[in-house]
Parts: sequence; structure tokens; C-alpha cells
Amino acid sequence: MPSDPPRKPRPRSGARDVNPSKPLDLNTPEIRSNVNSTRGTTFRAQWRAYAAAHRWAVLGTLAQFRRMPYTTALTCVALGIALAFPAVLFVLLQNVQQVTARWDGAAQISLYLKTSTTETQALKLAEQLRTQPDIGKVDYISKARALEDFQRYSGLGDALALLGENPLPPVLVVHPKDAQVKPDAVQRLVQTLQTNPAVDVAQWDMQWLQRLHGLIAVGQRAILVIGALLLIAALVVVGNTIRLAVQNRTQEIKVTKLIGASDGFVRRPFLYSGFCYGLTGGLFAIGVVSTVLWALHDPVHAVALSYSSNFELHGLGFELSALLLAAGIGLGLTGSWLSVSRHLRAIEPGVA
Amino acid sequence: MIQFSNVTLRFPTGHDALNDVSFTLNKGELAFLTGHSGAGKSTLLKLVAAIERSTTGQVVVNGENLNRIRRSRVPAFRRNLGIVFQDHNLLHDRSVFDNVALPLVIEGFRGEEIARRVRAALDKVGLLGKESFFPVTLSTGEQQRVGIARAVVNRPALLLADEPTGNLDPELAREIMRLFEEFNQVGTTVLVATHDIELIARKRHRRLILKQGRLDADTNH
Ligand SMILES: Nc1ncnc2c1ncn2[C@@H]1O[C@H](COP(=O)(O)OP(=O)(O)O)[C@@H](O)[C@H]1O
Ligand SMILES: [Mg+2]
Repeated sequence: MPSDPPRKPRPRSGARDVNPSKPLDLNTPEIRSNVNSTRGTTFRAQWRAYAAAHRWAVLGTLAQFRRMPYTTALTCVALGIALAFPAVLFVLLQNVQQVTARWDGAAQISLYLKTSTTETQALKLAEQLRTQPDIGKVDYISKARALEDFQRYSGLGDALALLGENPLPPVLVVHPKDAQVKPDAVQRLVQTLQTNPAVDVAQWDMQWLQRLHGLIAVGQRAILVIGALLLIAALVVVGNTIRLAVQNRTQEIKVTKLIGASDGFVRRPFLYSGFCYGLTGGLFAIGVVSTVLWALHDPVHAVALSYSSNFELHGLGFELSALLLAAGIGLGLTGSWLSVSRHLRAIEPGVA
Repeated sequence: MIQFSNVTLRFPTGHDALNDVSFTLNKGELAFLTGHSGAGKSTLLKLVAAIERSTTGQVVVNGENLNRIRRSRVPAFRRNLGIVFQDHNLLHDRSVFDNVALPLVIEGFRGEEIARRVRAALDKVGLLGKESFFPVTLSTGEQQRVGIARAVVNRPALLLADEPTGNLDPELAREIMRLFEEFNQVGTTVLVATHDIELIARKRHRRLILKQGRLDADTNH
């Protein structure tokens, strides 16, 4: 290559070509090889070429944001809320599940024995039950203990004294062996215990837990449905914003296509925008979820304390945060891809 | 380089913008496409640039049969063309440098090569030193020259221009025409559409004259 062209403007530079040693015709083998040598022969050259195209796309994306700042901000916020809402529900439900998992361990069956049962018979039955494979611990509460407890907790001790005889039955408290036992397994155990001749009433104290499990299942399904609906809404919002951006840049797209840009080249700045919407929306969602959980922390802690539980609300965690970001970026990219593919084809140079 | 065989283009309105046009423009030639407004000059250039497709007849440009070209092939085909528009078609939120660099960026050149070639092209049209300007801050003539720099920066085999001097005063117009002659002298095939007969009256170049969509004359003086 000759030395750099002089900086002085030369409006009428005679027959001097941009490159005096070569004709302008691209089809001569000479120029072809020149072209090839400047693109993609080495990784370095390829990277530099990519960097130039990347710079172009980023400038386009920034111009797009500058041209519609409010739409851009609103899109990010809408995306963030669409992500945050199901995420908050999910985290709360996860916490509920964690609590009930502890209660599941406490699943216990009270066997109210017939009042005629003697202490020896009761202890023998307890011993017998302990050998059963699905039963862990069996506690014996004698008639006297039951009375004591009743007096202490009910404050009706004097009334019982009037009866003369202790009317309370002896009780065996049966704990299933498996701490994470399923509700229907407990139900089956209750039914078999009920058939024992010494047992008056077999009662599962945590039947409501079964209903809670049912409610949790409903909650999970609801989150899926809400999440799916919000996902579609987010796609529509992103798609609409990109549609506006494409319309804003119709002229530029036509010119670029006329100069020989492929669809991919034209699409790139819009995909970058979608990526930015997704990333910002995802970060916003993480912020929203963290704020909601933080706001809930103290009241939940207070409630837990009143149940003398040391329960702590679990936060978003790294995995879920990463998932939110990934979901945001995925949504942003998908929304802009769908929209730009749909609207780009219609924009051709020469078509008004 | 360009071959039209009995080309007719009928718009959906039923109007024949071009009617049975046949001509050949060889590699390295310079020709002016003239005729009154509405004669079909822009339409003919659009056929060459694969913007429109002919209704009947065959258009072959740079070895490519444009009647049968696939959509996905069109961008690569257009990279061998340089097109100058009457209304510049510059990107207003990009600097002069970026406007001229666009064809090179599309082709995948690397940064330094782009900078070198953009400067060379701007030097050629007398705008070196205005790289960082934005199009709106330039005069009409300067904007037109930025458009020309963009059209030639990737050294296209074929240069098309549609009324490149339409908005310019006579002095500037002559200067632009000289630029096209210079590009042609170094081997580029050039086809310029203009209704400005006076501008090319004294020039000894090939002239294709359109009249209501028909090729009325193909002269060499
Ligand atoms: N998209 C179109 N649909 C219908 N008619 C068109 C269209 N484009 C151009 N025409 C008509 O075709 C004729 C030629 O137009 P054009 O090629 O622009 O002429 P010129 O460039 O020579 O002034 C005109 O009569 C114009 O009205
Ligand atoms: Mg015209």
C-alpha cells in the first residue's frame, strides 16, 4: 500500500483513484484476493471485522433507545414485573412447602384406647406396635397423665374432680417411621390401627395437612398458569416495542438493505435491544422480588415467633436470580426476534 | 455487465413503466439514461438493482439472472453495486464516517481497513476532514458527495446513479459528473439516469433515451 492519502481536501483530484494502483472493478482476481485478505483469514482479523459490525449494531441500538426513552423504560419495567410476579409467588410457595415439610415429620396418630384397657395391656400393645415396620416411635400416655395434662391445659380440673372417677382413656401416640411420609400412607396406617380391638378411636391429628398439600398443588398450578400468561404478555410488550423501533427505522433499513445488508445484519441491533430489555427487566425483577421478601421478612418472623418457631423466610437465592436473568434475556431476545422477523420482510427498498 | 432482453415491467395499476426494452452495457462502459420525467429511468435502475422484477423479458446483471435470483442471494448481489440516490439516503443519526463505512461494515472488513478506505473515498470526493460531521450539518452538494463516497467505497463493479445532480446547482452538477467519469476511467461500469439533457449535451458518451417506457434511441454522441 502507498502511504496514507494526504489529509488536505482535494475535490478535483484528476484521475487519481482511491487506490491508484488498482482499478475499481471488484471482479479482477487482484482485488478479490485483496478483499479476502482483509476478512476472515485469521481469527484476529475475523474478530476485528466482528468488532466493526458489533460497533455498528451497538450504535444503532443506542440510537434506538435515545429515540424512544420512555417506551424503552416502560418495556423494561413491564418485563420486570411480568417476571417478578410469578417469582414472588414461587418463592412464597417454596417457603410454605419448607414449613409443611417440617410438619410432615410431626405427623402423628393418636390411639384412644378403650377405657377398660389396663396399663399392662396398653404397654404391651405399644411394644407390639413398635415392631411394625412403618411405625417409628410409640408414646404411652396413661389415664393419670392424660388427666394431669387436661387439668393443666383446660383449667377444668375442679369439674373433673366432681366426677370422682377418671373418665379419660389411655392414649398411644404413634409416629410413622418415615419422617417425610405421604398423607395417603398415613391414612392407610390410621385405617389398620382402627381395626385393633383395643383401640376405641384412631385419629390422625394432621388431617388438615392433607388439605394443605392439595392447596399447595393448586398454588403451583396457578403459578404456572399466571407465569405463562405473563410470559405471553411480556413477549407482546417486547414485540410491540421492537415493532415501533423497526417502524422508526424503516428508512435506515431500506437504505441498509439496498447497500447489500443481509437480514441478519439488519436484525442485529434489534436483537441487541431485546437483550438489553431482557437484562434490565431481569435485574428489575430481582430487585422487586428482593424488596417484597425483605418487606415480608419482619412480619413473617414475628408470626413464626408467636408459634415458637425459628422459621426464617428464604430469599431468592443465586440459582433463582440467575434463572430470572436468563428468563428475562430469553424473553427479550425471543420477543424481538419474532417481531423483527415478522416486520423486516415487509420493508424492502422500492416498496413504499 | 448489464443485459436487458425485451424487458417489460407492468405495475399492478396496469401501467407499463418499461415496454420491450433491450440493450447491453459492457464492462467498463459509461452510459447516461435520459428521458422526460416519468419515462421509466428510475424503474430501469430498480430492475438493475434487483429492487423490482421484470414482468416479462430477462435482466442479467454482473452474470446474475435477476429474474431467477433467490431472495437470500440479493444482499450478496447488491454488494457488487454502488448506488447513488437523488435524495442521498444518508443515515441522519450516523456520522459521515459511519455513513461511508456502512458498505464495508456490511462486507465484514476490519476497523483499520475500513478507516483507510473511508478516508480514501472521502478524499476522492473532497470531503476529507469532515468524517465526524453529521449529514444535516453539510450542504446539499456535500451530502450528495457523501452518498457518492459511500457508493464507491467498496469499489463496486457497477455504479448506478439516479438523478445524482437533481438538487444541485450547475457548477456542482458538473463536478459530480466529472467524478463519475473518473470512476469510469479506472474501470468501473457506470450508468447514470438524468433528465438534465444540458448537463450531458456536450459530452461524448453513450446515451440511452427512454420515451414512455420504450427505448427511443441508443446513441453514442
Ligand atoms: N410502484 C409503482 N406503481 C405504479 N406505477 C409506478 C410505480 N413506480 C413508478 N410508476 C410509474 O412508472 C412510470 C415511470 O416512473 P419512473 O421510472 O419513476 O420515471 P422517471 O424516473 O423516468 O421519472 C411513471 O409513469 C410512474 O408513475
Ligand atoms: Mg426518477
